[in-house]
Amino acid sequence: MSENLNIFVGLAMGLNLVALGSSRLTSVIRAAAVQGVLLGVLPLLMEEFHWMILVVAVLTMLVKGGLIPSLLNRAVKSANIDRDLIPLVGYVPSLLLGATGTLAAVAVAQRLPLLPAHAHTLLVPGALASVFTGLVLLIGRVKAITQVCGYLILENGIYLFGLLLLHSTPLIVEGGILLDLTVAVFIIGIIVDRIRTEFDTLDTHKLNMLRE
Amino acid sequence: MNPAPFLLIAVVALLLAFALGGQSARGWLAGLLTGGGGLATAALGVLLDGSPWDWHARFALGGETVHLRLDAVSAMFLLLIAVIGAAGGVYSLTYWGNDEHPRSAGTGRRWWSALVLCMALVVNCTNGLHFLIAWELFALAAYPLVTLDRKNREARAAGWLYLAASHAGTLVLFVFFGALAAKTGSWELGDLRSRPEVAPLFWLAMFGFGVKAGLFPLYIWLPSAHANAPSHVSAIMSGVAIKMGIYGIVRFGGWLPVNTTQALSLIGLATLGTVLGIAFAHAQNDLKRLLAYCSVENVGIILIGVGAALLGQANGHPDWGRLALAGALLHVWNHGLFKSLLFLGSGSVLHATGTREMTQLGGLWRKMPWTASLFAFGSAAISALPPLNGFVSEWLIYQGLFRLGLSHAAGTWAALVAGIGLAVAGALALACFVKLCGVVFLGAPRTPVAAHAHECGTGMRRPMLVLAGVCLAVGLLPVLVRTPLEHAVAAWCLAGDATAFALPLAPLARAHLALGAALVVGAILLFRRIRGGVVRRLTWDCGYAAPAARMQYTSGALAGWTISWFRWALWPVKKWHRLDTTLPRDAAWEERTPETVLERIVQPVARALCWLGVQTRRTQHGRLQLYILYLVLGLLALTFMALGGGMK
Amino acid sequence: MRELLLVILPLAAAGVAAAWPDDRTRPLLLPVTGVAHAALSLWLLIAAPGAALTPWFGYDPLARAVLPAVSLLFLACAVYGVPYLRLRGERPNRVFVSLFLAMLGLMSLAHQALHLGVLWISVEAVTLSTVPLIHFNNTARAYEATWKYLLVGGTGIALSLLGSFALGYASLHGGGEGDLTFTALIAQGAALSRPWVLTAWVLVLVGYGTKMGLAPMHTWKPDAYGEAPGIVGAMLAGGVTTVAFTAILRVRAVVDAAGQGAVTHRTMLALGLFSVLVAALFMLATRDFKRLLAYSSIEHMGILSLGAALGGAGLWAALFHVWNNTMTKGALFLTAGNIRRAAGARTVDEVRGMAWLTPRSAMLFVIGLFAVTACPPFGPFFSELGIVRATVAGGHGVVAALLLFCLLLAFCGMTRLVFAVVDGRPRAGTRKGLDRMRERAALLVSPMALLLISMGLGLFTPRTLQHCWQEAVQQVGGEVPPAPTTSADIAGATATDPVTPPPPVLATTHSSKPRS
Repeated sequence: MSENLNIFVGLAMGLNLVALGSSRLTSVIRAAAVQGVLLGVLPLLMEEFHWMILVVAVLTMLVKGGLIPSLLNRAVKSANIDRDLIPLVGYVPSLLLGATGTLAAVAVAQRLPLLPAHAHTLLVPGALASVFTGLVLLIGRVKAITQVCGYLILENGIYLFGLLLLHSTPLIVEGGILLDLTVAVFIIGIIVDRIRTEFDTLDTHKLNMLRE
Repeated sequence: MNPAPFLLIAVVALLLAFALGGQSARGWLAGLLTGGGGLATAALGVLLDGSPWDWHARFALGGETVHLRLDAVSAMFLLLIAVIGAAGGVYSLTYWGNDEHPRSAGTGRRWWSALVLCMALVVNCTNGLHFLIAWELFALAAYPLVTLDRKNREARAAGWLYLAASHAGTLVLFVFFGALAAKTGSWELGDLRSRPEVAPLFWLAMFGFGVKAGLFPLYIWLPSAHANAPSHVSAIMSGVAIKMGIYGIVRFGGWLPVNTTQALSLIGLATLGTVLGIAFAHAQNDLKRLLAYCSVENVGIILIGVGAALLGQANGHPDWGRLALAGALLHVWNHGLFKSLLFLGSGSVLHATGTREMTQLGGLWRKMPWTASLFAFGSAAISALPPLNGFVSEWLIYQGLFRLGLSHAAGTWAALVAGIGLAVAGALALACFVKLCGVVFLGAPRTPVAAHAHECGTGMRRPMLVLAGVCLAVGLLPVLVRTPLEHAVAAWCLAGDATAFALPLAPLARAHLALGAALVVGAILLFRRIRGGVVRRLTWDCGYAAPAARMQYTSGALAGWTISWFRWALWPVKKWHRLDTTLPRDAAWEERTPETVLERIVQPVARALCWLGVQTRRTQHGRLQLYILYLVLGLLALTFMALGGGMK
Repeated sequence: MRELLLVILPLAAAGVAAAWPDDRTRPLLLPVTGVAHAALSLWLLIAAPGAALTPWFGYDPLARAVLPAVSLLFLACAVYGVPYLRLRGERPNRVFVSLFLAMLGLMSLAHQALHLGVLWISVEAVTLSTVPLIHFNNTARAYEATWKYLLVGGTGIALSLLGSFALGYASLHGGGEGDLTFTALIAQGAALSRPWVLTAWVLVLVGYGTKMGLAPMHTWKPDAYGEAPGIVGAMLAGGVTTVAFTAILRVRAVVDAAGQGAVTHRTMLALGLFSVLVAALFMLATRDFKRLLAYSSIEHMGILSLGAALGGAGLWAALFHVWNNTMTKGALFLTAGNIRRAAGARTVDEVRGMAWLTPRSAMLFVIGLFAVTACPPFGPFFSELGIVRATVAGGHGVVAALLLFCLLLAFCGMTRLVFAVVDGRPRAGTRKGLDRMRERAALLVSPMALLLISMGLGLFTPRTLQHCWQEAVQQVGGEVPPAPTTSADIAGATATDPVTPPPPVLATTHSSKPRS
């Protein structure tokens, strides 16, 4: 079981690098979506079957893999943009940064005091790496869409970490947290859409009317 | 006599005056005069009786039980508040009436009564929390008065400076009272001289109260606020409000265990303020600004006396400083009286001519004989000429300083230095007021406005006459104030060391009476000679056929020497277009004395802070990416802080 | 059950509002719910319920000490909301009214959450429910502000979720169940895994600190407060921030119980002081009076953090300050909304002479300004004085000096800007604004009432409230670290004599605050 888990998490970590390295918006969106679906499967692998877990997992996969990507893709299409052209942190540097971050995450996770059950999984390094990747995307990219993807990846990382507590957190709390996160991303998607109509762009360079 | 009912009447009357002030001028005046009367009666009762009035309320305010206490020291100040509050209030009805100032007259009346009430509360509160409340309310109540002329940008700027400076002082008092409460465990105030650990707090008190009092070099707000406020407001600000700062220093000087260093610092700053204050005053061309700087000088004189008393106490011999303290307390009264008189007089001049610039005035003696005589009288009093009241208090301070100086204790040399400073300042003050009266009232009018001036009405004249009368009474009969002063000094020294103490005022009174009689006789003789007929002849006029008013000595010319003596402190700014070519176009000479402390020290610091603010503002540039970076940096810093401490 | 009603009632009202057909009458739901909620929370304040309803949720002392303030603020905003939404008749208000009500319910939930997960869920839900409120004006600027609010706030709150998980893991690793209720976590105490507790603390502090608006996580605040309607700004500054503050206090109690009191003390002190400093510098330079209020809010959050860091009497004063901040900020935002509406602009370059155009609002604004800058007789004076006293009593003379210096800068900055707006001759263009906004009594009652409450709180602090704060301090006060000996002689004036025993800080006449 732990092997399967590690494969999934490892894939997710790879997707982090994909998201960091690609300039095409659609591939970043796809990377985030696939990562979301992969993570949605994880609780099914970790727990004995429970209908609530199934519901949560399916919902996660639907929203992260279907709803949000389609929302973002629609925005990309209607804004008629393709790439995040001049990012604040370039693709190669961010890829290097991401790789370093992933390695560092593995190294840090080995230092951290973990329970024996978690010591040999990639859950903690995966979580840290995703959080790091999410922050890099949030800080380094200028297109609103890429930033939303960064936020998604950041959340995926936190979700991964949350899986450590899957046994002890009541499902209703888990469900509430997921619902909140989903709604948050959904609302961000809506705001992105509104920004596109108001500003006629998704370039956040234009989004600095509000300043001192 | 129990002052409680009078205080209650006063509070109710002043509150009524506050409520009525907006609409009814008469109702307000009735409330104000009743309030003033109540306060004065209560104060007089305590001053003549000597035993303090102490009252614990059954209710709490802000979590603290209300505790009021009126002893002879507070009563000294309370009486001053009552007298100037009433006199200035009467004056304001004509000076800042409904007809001329329909928008602001009501506001002015309201806040006037509020100011009087709050100051009365300050001197009565004996709980740190309530003291601070009353203090801040009093500071705030003065703000709308200073900026009564809200349309005037300069007045607003002056008011803002006052507010900011006063808030700086209040914030220091926050720490002062907070620390006092933290160390004693309660907000209650009282004698703490047996607890040496609170001694350092006197520095805070000196700063916090010093800002309000106009202690050198914290007086930055004072000149512009006094100059730009309406004159009756200047009168109460200079006459009473800054005395509240002195009250704080006197009060906590008596309660805290002050050490020699602190006392010496106070004397040093006060001496510096005395000499430089009058030097600055001399250099002014603005009538009210001159009076304002003169307040800095007089605050210095008062604080020299207070500092001497503290020095004596720090040396363990409170009796050495008592004479100086009595002089200082009397000077609080005297300065309140004659400075208010002078500001009211300058208000009449301003009212009649519309300008405060001395270079625009001149020859007002003929047009405004009452104002001119009262002003000259006030000038004589403030220059400490016998037989007027200024001399009495300064004489007491000199006596105190000499006694202290001859006692051979640690730091008493300072008393002699202060004495010399006082003497220099006295001479300069005389010169300063000779210049002022000469330029404004004598000679020929320099401008048409001065030529068409008119005498003020009785509504403005009467309060001035009352103030002048009190000045004269204190001057001629100093024994009148003996009992109150002795009681105040005894109350300050507290019960433990209240040995027998008598003020040597009787010989002075005899001398003053004799001098006064001689002056009256001299005046009568002079009057007779003049009545015999004065022959007017043309003076030698250097061959000018047509002497013009502009050829008179200006205020700058009269102050030239003094300014050059004090160039090291005043830093005057000069502009001089010399006549250089053979056919010169024009020539001009301009000399201006800046507000040295404000313009050379405070403003650069303020500008630096504003620059820092502008730089900080740039971090809010609207770029979301960097905002998130800030967040991450904050996270890193906190991680560092959390783990870094964990290693220890 | 009453405490549950506090949550259910507004949520149900939100549902009703969403279904209500008429735009004109819908806003009336606001005051109706507000009155019911305020009555309920005051009743609960006076007659506290017994044990918590469930381990996850309950009206514990901390909730009791803070929630009624939010409830009162909501009532004031609700009363203001009716005439306000009438003025804004051009905008449909279905979403606004229902989310405004939902926000109240969610805030009540967040204040009463005794479980880290529930706490996080409700705080996040509050955040999300405010989003459409912030872009109610439907301008490009409003959307930009919302975008930044969502992403900065979202990142912060995501980190706080990570922190909550880390705290759970600390419990697991310490041999516990990973139970995220605060009682269980506190009971586990020192057994919690130390590295995870510290990680959790930092993440939670940054996360909820973002929500509170502590520097350097404050960046969303001026934008959101500046672009949102005044009524929303009032709720954000006076309500939502308190939710984040109590969240931090609750987590802090756990971290303190784990023996890391020194860390919480140090970090909160540093963060608070930094926020006050940054806010003061911003206030010196800003030219926009609504953004000014945002910076003032940052300043007061810093003061709260600082007071809470001191524990004991400082925390008591901080809880007091929560009430005062809620009332005064509410009044300021509402009047600023009036002025902004009448002037049609927000910067000193465009707005002048409001004392002539909207005399009453301008007067209330100036009074509110003095109230918020800690002038008596308003509440902030008393609470800030309490914090200063606690700072000095704790031996932090330098901190007190820095704090007061920043307060002076803030005072200068605020007065400068506000007087510039109020005084002077109105611009010709602004006169037209009076058609947009008439100073109706309905728009002035609320700020006036809030200011009166603030004054009453200061002068006649109710016993019940004092006891509430006391109990709350006992609940979350944590250990108060001893005064560092190195700073004892700093600023000589505030040194505690090492020989004499520590003074009885709390021996005030009848509010014997619980700790020294």
